[in-house]
Amino acid sequence: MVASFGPVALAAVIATVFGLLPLAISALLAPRRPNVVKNSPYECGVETIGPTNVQFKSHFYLYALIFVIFDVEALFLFPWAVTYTQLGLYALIEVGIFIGLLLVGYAYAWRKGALEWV
Amino acid sequence: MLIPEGALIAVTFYVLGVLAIAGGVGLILARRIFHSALFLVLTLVSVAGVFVILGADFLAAVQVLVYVGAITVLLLFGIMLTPQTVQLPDIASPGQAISGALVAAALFVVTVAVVATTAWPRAAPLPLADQPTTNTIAFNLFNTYVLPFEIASILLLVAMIGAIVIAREE
Repeated sequence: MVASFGPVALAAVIATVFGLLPLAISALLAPRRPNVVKNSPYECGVETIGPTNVQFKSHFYLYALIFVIFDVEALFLFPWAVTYTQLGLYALIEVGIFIGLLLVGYAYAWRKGALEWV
Repeated sequence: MLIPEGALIAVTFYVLGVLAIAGGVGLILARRIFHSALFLVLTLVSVAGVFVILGADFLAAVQVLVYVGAITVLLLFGIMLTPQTVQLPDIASPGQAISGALVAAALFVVTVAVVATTAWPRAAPLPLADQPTTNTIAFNLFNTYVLPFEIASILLLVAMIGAIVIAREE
């Protein structure tokens, strides 16, 4: 079983190297001649006004909460998806009820405007 | 195979262990709380890898989905929604550092003592080590434990509606 995770480990290693290697090459090769213009922070080319670390509206927390709910839902669907071909129709109906119940909550969130971007 | 599988697993375990500890140390030492959260992700992912080595593939998936996904998102949102004016002091007073080191050392001693004195069932082979645990869990979940499964759905529904009601009141 562990051996089947070999590709996962390989992907993790490649992803890490892929991210770190350009940074390392840049740190080794790039000439460092900093000046005022180079060191200035920028955002789309225009200097920022005021502090950039701002406090976000607490409304955004709803997205996090709803994400967490559906994350846990995906967790329950994961074993079903893995063994779908062996489980058959009965499990499909069970999962249908499971998702149906959560869709009620989704509809509620939608109706209450919890998903509206403000 | 060029390298024996046991050696490969041992090396992977130690690499994951070092990464997990490095994440934990970075979490404590990072000056910015956001960086602490990112170090926490490193530790949690490494522990997921350890779960894979132990043959608990479903637990590894849970670790990635719930801890790396959901818990970290909640943490990051918590940081985002907190006023960022709080700047941590460079280092706490020497007395605090000493007492912290003492507590950490005491905890370390207790942990090592417990690990050393526990009779680990090492001789018995892991019952599920060679086959994926997810299939077994799926069969139990969708045959024996159907009702708890559906109740979990209702629990999630209640949690979602409750969260919306509480969050929208303000």
